[in-house]
Amino acid sequence: MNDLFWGLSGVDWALIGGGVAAILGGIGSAIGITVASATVSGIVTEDGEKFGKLLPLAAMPSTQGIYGFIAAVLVLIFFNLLGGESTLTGTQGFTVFLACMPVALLCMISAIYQGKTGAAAAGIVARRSEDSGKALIFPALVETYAVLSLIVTVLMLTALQATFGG
Amino acid sequence: MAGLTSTRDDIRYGFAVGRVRVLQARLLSRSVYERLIDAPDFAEQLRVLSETAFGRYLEHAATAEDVERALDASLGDLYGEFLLEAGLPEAVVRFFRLPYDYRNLRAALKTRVLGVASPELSSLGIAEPSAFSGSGEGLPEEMAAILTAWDEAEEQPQLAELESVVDHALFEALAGEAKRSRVAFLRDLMTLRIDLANIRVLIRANAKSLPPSAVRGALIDGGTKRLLELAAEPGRMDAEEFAEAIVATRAVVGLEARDLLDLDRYDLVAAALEAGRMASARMAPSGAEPVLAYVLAREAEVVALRTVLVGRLVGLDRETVRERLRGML
Repeated sequence: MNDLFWGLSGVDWALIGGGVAAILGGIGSAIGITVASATVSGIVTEDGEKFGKLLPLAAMPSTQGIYGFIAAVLVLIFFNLLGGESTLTGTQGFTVFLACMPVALLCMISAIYQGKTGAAAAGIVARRSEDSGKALIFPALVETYAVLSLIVTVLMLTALQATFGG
Repeated sequence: MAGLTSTRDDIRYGFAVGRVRVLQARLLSRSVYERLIDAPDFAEQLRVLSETAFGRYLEHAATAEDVERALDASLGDLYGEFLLEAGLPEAVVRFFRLPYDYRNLRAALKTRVLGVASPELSSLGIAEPSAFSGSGEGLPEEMAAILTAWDEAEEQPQLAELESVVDHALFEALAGEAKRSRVAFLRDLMTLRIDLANIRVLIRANAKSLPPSAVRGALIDGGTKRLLELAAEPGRMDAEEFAEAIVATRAVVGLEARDLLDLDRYDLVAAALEAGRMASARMAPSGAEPVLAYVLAREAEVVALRTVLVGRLVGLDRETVRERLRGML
């Protein structure tokens, strides 16, 4: 428990990992939603009837923030950080930190790019309302990689939990 | 860093880009122009336009002057409302309004120096039309200097000299605003426009075998330097050789030597190259480009509409109007 890695305990490293995942995912989502919403707002200003069809495009980057949040909660639960009974060593905590990085970094980046893709796809709806289904596909493709990063982080955390015994 | 800038631009211009995506679809289509040309009279033209954004401006128009005023009002709203709300840098707004100031300057100079009756000055510029009278106190320094440049001159300048001085000043002012705007598209567009104007000067100089000093004076700074270096060459080469030399500078991609052998053909090719640059900007998914391309498209739309409406009002036949329009669309 008192074993330190680069001056920080295992619990410190695990908390930083979970925190970074939640923070970066949230930052990415906030930026992505802002980017998409700016364009969507402009379209709705000129054509209010398209609001319903454009809302999913603006909301789509919000999922990355949720994925980061999920990763952070899993870290807290898997390694008993909530009960204050964690036995993670410094090195073990650092590996938990590393396991959080796929979802943290990929969610931030993919949310921003999903916002950009959503903004571009909103142009399709602006031109032809009936193509709103097609417009959803492009930002959804970006989502794939955020989901994969969450799966990787969850699998790594599960493996670490099995190895360290919580 | 580039990613950060791009994301900042996405947020900054996103709202305007969204509006443009809808407004672009409301630009007049080729079929509307065809209907306008084929309309039997002005009343029918107004009926066609009543279904468009121009309807409210042209509602009470009856003469060519009314049409001019109505179209200017539509542009005034574009600059006053859309551009200001678009969150574009101040320099971009100035970029679009400066040409009207220089148009006023040209008209005021013709009256002042050559005694030619001046048409009504436009109020679409930055400076008040009244500022172009007297010593130009309300004008920026460089404009006032041009306005009063011939006040003490013993010899009256030629019209071409006046035009050249105003054109040079306009290009310089626009290039300066484009640079200040920090919008890459505007900077590239100005470089292209200056290069195209300089190539035109070089072609004419070659045809007239002008001396290098005259060519240098006519060329505009701010474009591709390699073109300026050709100022000494026009008299030394024949037209084909000179066209090859211009193309070899690679200043303007897409130009071929045969495009430079005839000025009429060159003007069409130059207009097409500029239109191509606009089209690629319109297709940009985000940033300032689609917004600027839309404003430029609206300006072109007003010019085309003016050609059709005023052309028919003053009695031009359909084929002449159609021919003039062909170069614009």
